[in-house]
Amino acid sequence: MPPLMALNAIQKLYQLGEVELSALRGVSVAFAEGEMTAIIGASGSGKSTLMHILGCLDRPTTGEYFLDGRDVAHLDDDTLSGIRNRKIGFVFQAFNLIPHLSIVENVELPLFYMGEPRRRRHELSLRAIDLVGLTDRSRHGPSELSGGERQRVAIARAIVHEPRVILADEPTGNLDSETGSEILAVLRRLHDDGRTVIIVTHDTEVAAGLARRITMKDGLVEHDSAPLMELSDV
Amino acid sequence: MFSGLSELLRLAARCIFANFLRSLLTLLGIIIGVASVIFMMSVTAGASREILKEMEQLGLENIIINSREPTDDATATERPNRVKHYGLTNKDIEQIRATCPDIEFVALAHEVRQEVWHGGQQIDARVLGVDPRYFATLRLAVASGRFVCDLDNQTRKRVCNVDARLLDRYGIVRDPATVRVNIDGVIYDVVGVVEQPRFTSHNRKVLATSGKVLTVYLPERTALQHYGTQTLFLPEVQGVEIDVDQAIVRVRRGRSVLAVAGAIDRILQVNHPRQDYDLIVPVRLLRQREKTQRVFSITMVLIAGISLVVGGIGIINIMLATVTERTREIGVRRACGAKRRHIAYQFLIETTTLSFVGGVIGACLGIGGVHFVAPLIGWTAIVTPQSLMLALGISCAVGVLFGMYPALKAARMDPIEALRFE
Repeated sequence: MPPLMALNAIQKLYQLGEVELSALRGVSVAFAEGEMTAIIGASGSGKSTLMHILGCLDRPTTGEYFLDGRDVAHLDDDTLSGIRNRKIGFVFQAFNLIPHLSIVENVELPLFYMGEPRRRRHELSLRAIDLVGLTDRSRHGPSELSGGERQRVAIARAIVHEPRVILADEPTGNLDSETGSEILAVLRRLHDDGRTVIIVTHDTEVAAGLARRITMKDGLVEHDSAPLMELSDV
Repeated sequence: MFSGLSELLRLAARCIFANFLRSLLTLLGIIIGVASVIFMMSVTAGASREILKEMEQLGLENIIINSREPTDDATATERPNRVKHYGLTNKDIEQIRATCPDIEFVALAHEVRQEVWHGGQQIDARVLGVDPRYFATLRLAVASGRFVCDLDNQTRKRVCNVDARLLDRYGIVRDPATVRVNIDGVIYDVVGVVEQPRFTSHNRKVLATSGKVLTVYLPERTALQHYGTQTLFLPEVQGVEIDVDQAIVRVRRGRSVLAVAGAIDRILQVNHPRQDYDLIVPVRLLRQREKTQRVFSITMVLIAGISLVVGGIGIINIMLATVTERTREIGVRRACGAKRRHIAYQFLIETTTLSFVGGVIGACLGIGGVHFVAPLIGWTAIVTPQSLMLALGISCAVGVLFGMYPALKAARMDPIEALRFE
């Protein structure tokens, strides 16, 4: 079975005025369906850039990226938006809920851009909210929730449309350690249900509990605790 | 456009009402612009109707010629004791009748400059000897009795009509049919009371050859027989002689009043170098006033336009601030799969909704203003559905036009940058 996501010799250059900055310098890595992986690295190691490319928010300068069997490395903005919409679920450090929308409306967002009818959106988002254990708070606004609850809403938004992969960027970064581990537990449960989860973090404690850890340094993969063997076949 | 328009509209409304004061202040320009569009159009519509009504009183198919004392009568100073001769002559009338086949008839009026008495009481009224068709040309109606008729005229009967208010003014409460008036020793039976015409002040000025408001109408020939066209004022041995004081030319239906007026104008200019006449063409006045009205309207439209542009700039300003404030929202939406055009639509719809709300408020203010302010300053105003549609359309157009730039700015944001935005 081909990997769900496969990166091949990905380079990303940024032009900062006169200086050319190389954020990724040839990353080749693959992820299988149903894996739960941590991408670790200090700031500036290229892990955020890697996550943006994995999440189709950014395009690599050179290299190939196969997502679900399709090379998405050099698609146009609209197509990438469509791919994000159907295949990716994001969880951010700062939760990034939209303050003037209710919780249900926040969770519905990916479905809205899929063009799902309203009733179905509502139904699915309630199910996702139920999955993260917030059913009793679904009528509230984001400002009435605690940090941990907000992050649960964000996770519900990331899974409501059944994406191929959940990308979590420092999901515990803004939370105390207890709440943080609760959130990790939620993500782990999603993984147990068969979902693919990639967590980007600089917190080694967060990474410690995960089966696979990829360490980034200076724009390259420094260490991969359980590399996929088929990589060369891609 | 993608489905979910109602969603976006609800969202837009929520964002607008969440910051109601800010939205209201933003909308001030639009509100004022739309209110003034409505107000101006209503006032213009009202004024146009008034003008039309005023000119219809005079009769759009009529041409009115009044005799007038010339302002620079050189002979008057040389020979003070003489009879002044001016105004329309029978020759003019003959010529006009002969030249213009489009004329249906010419109704003449001769002013009798004599005192009117009723039972020892002098009555302040002007006396007109009129062609019986005179009444119809001015759409006069009888309150009781009948008009002086053609037979009265042919037989030079001593009968008259009086204005309704004349009876009221002098407390004549008897059956009008039994009232008689004495004009310079000749006794006239009142055969009919003319319903008091509701002429506007402009029209009164046009129609009244003397300053007097109330009128006694005699048959034309009766008047000419008894008083002639010459009036002498003793003892200074001064006098005036006027053949015809007023002529109302009725143009045939469907024929050009302006063409007939032009022909009459040329005849009179040749015959009367002293300019001792006034030519009043209601159709022409109507056109002129409409032209003035149009200039006024254009000015008001410009003012309203300026205020709408200012309002639009206010909207751009606030929407740019909103886009910046909601950068993260844009990032999240993009991450969730929103395409650039989804973001552009969202903000465009929000801006349009905002300015539409402004339009509605402005329309309410405009209509309110029309109903409360216009009567206070004595204007008639009519709110037409068209003006309402126009005003709301304009407000939407302003929203779309001025919302374009902020919407494009939002759509062009890089999602990664937007998500990082603090």
